[in-house]
Amino acid sequence: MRVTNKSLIDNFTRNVNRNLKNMSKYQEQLSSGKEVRRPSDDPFKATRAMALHTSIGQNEQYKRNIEDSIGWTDITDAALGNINDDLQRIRELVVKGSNGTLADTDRNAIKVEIDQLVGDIAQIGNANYDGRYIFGGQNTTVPPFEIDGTGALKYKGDQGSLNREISPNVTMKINVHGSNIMGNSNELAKTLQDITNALASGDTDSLSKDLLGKVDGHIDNILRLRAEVGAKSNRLEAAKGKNEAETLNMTELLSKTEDIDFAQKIMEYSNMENVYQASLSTGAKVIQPSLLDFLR
Amino acid sequence: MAGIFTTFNTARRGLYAQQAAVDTASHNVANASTAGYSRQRVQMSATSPYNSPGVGQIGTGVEVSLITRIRDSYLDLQIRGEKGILGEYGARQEVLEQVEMIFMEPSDTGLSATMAEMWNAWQELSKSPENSNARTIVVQSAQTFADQLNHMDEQLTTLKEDAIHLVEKKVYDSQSIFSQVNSLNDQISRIVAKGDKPNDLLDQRDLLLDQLSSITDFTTEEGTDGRITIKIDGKEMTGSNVQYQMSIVRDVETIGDDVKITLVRGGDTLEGVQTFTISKDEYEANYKDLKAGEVIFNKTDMAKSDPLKTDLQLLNDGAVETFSPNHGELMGYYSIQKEVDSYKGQLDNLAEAIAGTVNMIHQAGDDTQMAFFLGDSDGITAKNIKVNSEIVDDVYKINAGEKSDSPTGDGSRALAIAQLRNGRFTIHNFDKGNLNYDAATMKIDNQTGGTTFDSYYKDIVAKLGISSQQAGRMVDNQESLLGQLQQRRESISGVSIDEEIANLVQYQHAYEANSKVIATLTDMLDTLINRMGV
Repeated sequence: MRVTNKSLIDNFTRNVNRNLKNMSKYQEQLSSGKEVRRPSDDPFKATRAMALHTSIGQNEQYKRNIEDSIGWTDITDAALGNINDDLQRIRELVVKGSNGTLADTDRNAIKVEIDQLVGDIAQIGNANYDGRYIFGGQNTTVPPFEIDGTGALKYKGDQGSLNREISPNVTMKINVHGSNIMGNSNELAKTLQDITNALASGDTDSLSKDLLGKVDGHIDNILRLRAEVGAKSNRLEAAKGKNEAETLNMTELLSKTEDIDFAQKIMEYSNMENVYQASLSTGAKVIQPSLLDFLR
Repeated sequence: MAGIFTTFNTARRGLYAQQAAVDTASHNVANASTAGYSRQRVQMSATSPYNSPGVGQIGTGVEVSLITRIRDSYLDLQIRGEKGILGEYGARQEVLEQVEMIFMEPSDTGLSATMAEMWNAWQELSKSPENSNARTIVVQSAQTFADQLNHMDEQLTTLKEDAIHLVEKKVYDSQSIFSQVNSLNDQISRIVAKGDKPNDLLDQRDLLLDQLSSITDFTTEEGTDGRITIKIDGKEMTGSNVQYQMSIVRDVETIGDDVKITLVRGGDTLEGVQTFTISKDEYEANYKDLKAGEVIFNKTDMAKSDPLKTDLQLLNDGAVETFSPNHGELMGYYSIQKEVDSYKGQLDNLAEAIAGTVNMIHQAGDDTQMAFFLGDSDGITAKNIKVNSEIVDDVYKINAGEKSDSPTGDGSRALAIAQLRNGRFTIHNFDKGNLNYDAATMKIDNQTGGTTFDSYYKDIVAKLGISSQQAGRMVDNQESLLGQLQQRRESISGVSIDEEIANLVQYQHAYEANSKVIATLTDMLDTLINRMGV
């Protein structure tokens, strides 16, 4: 085949161009650290990377939801613990007050302490997490418990649920509302009211039998609520563990899909650089001489 | 017996022939870098011999019978075919690369990331609906999402318009090539009539045909007078019988009950723009193939304006018909516009589906309630989707809770909206009339055969990636193939400087030899005239 000067130059240009293009591709990959810069570089890898990014992002949101819920249930548990302590103290005082040998002044002292404890229970009931009242149901901006004019404990919140999504399409109710604490038809308020009345009137009989039993009932109720909250807390911790493991797996997978293997890339790049330099030097030797150099 | 003067003639012919050969070699060397130049060779043949009775035939010298150009016309056909395919995929690659930049995926700033942030904002709102901050963030992230859709649609539209401008330019280039070929045809036919070969003119015409092959496919017919007629879609574009010109539809706009068609005749953007306004019925009946970006043929004598004729009559007179090229840049830009339209349509579907489902939950299935996303009177598309301005002005108008009088801590409706992220809907032919809303759970049922919004968007990007990758691969392959063919052409028709210089030396020696002959003859004459006799 006849070879002209022009075809030598054309070949030289074409080869050098191709090598430069390859080198440029490696350079892009090395400086961005990513295999795929545009969908056309590798459509399947690109969409896989997109899907993983989306899943990881979604998982991060669920993790935030879970951690938020864990904070909420921790505070709920602590508050219920404090209420339990107060109810235990009230029980002791009821036992003490049911002693028939007590003087009126002594019984009055007990009544005063119990009144204080009722106030304390109301205050604990108004615990808040991040500016919201945790026992108010969906009514989170208004303090749910108060002591009304007659000295009775009153619950003003509602019975709504607060739900959080902890994983795709899995929601969990995280709150305990005040009605749960009060028992059926506000029994707790009535029991406490009855106790102070009995102490005031010296009714040791009902104190020792009826009311003591009711206080025990309320203590059991609080313990039961605490157990439920504990179970929720366990479930949330488990969900968090699972969430973190999933995120770790997906991140690893994403890295395998998206990121370059630096050592290998640099090797490939040096190789291409050598090829480029070789093409330049041989090309230079071939395109220069012509017959005119040799005709005197 | 011939005289010495006859021999003089022989030597003289020799000198002229060698001089012509040197001229040709010099011409080749001068044109070594000229695009489209085919090397020329002098064909010498011996002149008719003189019949000397008793002696035999005595030669009378040499003449240049022909100066030919070395060219393989079959190779030309092959190259033109491959150039057409390269033109087509080159055009597609050019536009698709720009579409990829518009989508900007995979990245932290693409639509995929913006959508994710929007769903996250609804999750945060469901956890603290009392908080005005959470509400503001929902509005902002939704606005970012809507803005990005608006912007992407706008960029795709601009890209389409740019592609149409490029086609206008290519059509104009084609028309210009036709007229250049016409004038070359005239010159060539005059020289062919004299029996000569107009090599340089033929080279120029072939170069023009090469350029045309990048733009569109065509057929040629060669006449006996050396003229070439270019035919596109069976219509003659050069010669004396040209009735049609190539034009392009720049825009088709619906204004009320009328349709306004803008043509760019002959691709001439300065003088060739002509508009026609016809009724919608007339458009649907006869001209609904005319869409923006279509390449058409129309009669060259179609009037620009005529006070006695309606626009429809002018169009009919013009015998306007569409043209679908098979290869070439025209085909590439044409097919890519269709593809860009499909991406725009898919973004529209996505906008409509997200807006439709979010609104349905936000409004609790009742159209009269406050919508979260709005569009315009024709519906919601990627171009017009935006957050309801009433909500932008007052973030407490977002219905985060189950009822309008729900307590402030109720974020259940916001949670239902956030969970749309995992819902499956038939987005490709979305119809909000088909959605099933459950008022108790505030959820919309999954639709059979539906996909999530993320999957749908990912599919769009995947298709784009594959299409662009294919265009890139075709371009690489064609460039390789074309490179080989052009190398073959170069090997056949290209000027080798070394070869020409060697030939030059050869002709120079021959010239010297011929002049030596003349010198010898001069001496002989001198002897004859001056030395013989007294």
